[in-house]
Amino acid sequence: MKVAEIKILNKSGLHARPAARFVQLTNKFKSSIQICKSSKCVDAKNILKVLSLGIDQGDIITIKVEGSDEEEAYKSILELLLNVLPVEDK
Amino acid sequence: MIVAKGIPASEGIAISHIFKYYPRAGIEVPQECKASEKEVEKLSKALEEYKNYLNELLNVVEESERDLLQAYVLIAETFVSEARELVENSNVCGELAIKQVLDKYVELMEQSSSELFALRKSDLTDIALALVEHLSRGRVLGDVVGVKDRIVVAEELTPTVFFRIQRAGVKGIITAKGGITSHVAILARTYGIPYVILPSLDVASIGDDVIAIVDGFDGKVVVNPSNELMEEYTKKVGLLNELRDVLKKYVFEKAETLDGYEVEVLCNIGNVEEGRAASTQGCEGIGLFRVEYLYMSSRPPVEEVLVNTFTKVANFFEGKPVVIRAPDLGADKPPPFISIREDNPLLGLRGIRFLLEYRNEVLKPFLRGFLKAYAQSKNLRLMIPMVIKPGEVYEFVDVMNVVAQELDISCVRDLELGIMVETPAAAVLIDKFAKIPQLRFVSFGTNDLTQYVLAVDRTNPRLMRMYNELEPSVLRVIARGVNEARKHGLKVEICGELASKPIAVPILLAFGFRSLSVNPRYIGTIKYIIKNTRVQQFEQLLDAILNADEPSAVEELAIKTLQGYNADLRPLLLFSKYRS
Repeated sequence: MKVAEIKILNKSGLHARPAARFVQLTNKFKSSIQICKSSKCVDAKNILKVLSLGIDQGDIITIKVEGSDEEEAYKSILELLLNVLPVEDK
Repeated sequence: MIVAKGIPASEGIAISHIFKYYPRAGIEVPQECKASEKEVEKLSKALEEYKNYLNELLNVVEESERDLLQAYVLIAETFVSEARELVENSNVCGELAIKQVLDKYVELMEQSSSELFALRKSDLTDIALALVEHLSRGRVLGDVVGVKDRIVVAEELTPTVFFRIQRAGVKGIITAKGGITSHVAILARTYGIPYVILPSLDVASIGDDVIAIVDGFDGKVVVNPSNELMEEYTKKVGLLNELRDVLKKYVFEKAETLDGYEVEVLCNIGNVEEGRAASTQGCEGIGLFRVEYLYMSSRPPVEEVLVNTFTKVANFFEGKPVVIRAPDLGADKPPPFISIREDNPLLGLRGIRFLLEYRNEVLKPFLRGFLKAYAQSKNLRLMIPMVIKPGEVYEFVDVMNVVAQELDISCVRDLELGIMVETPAAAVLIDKFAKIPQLRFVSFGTNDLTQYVLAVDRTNPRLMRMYNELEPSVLRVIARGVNEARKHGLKVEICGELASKPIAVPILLAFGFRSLSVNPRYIGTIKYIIKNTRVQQFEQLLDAILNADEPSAVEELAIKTLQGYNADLRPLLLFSKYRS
């Protein structure tokens, strides 16, 4: 299992638009993926559950990935959250 | 003719016939609600049809809006996949299953900490309703045929409906519900469709097909306008078409007058989402963050909420000033958790008076939250509302120092503290306030200042014509105050509505203001006016302005001066006559 704790940097946090990007990405992988905020963890492939965490800019979240393609999933997710979204959504 | 004043949600002007849009009512669950053999299949088919419909929209909306529709697709998929399980396990019909899934998530969303920007209940309901319609009838209701070139009037609109009416060629929008940071308002601004939110609107009472005007600048709606108004607004529409792109361009430029004075243009905001939006709209900082909204529930906000709120807005504006005003509770904003009965609340326990009275319940927790945020974000500043004498500021500072000590925050020394000048008392005592070591700036709150100088209740409709910030008495108080503040080395700002009135801007610059905090909607116009102002010409005019008999004379003097050196006056004409 790969685990990362990261700070959300993009301006709108994981609200509607960025959450859609995030969930579209997680659904490309077979691995089970969880996203957690303040010790509450949800299925990162379910947009409604992701939205229900109310993740905003500056929040610290944890990503947990487990499965056959966890390496690739882990890398792509961090790339999206740390590099792509912060540039697109300043 | 009916004229109503609402909240301007998207700039622009539309004149056209009305088209009433009735959104679907709630989800109808059939009386006989049992899963048929093909229930699961039917659900999948409804999802496919709804997705086709969204995909059609996806092909035509702007790039930046695609992610929102993608979110809709993903939500619909989740709805149906969970509804399918319910159908299989408890044998209910698809309609009820979807309703149950919807209810579950609406509750989850309501518990989530950020209710402002997340997909709202109305978005989720919109998706569930559409699915149920596909399920029961095989198509989406809510006809938009005939919307072309008309003004849509509705109780509330959802983004999908917005996209449909936008594609159908809608000219303007009026709704009863909604907020300026709702998805529909954001979309209306993106697509340049004038939109006014009119909380007093009764959709049923308005006739279909009548002519109306939507004025997204002043937030005005006119139904059955007079010939005179029709003419005035037709002219404005022409002017607007000329100016639209110009004003947009000015939003992001630096504001410097024709004679080389640089002016800082800050913005006023009333919640985090407005701050988020303001940071991308050319605002050079926040001159006034009204935080009263945090206090409008059954108990005061907890420390964590305060810290989060202030930190977030500070981060949107890294390196630029963000002025938090200590909550101005009482008067027209009594907090629900403390009952105050007063005969005359506008002259009652409000602002600093309220804070000192409830120092344990409200002031100290507020200061704890503020100082914790300040320790991390040094661009935060603090402003005290409704002061009438230095003693109040000293008392406030004492409480603040105690809190700072408790928290072991020593940087409180560097904090830029200011007062809001909104009472005549504060305005005439600025030299005395300047002696307070902690005090760095004053900011003129012209709305209350005007009502207190004139002794005119600004909410009293019968006195509407008397409430005018350009009354020479008000201007004298401001001019004198600015002078005193500058003489004594205090930074001077203005955050009242007067700073958002284009015609007043050159006068304020002549008074000596170099920092204006305005409504973010007007930032392009205000910068445009600044760049067309010759401060020195207006300085020569000061005597005449302060000795004028009427506000209208002040206005005329200003316009003549602008004409005198051929300034471009067109943006002024977009706004209604000074007071109407």
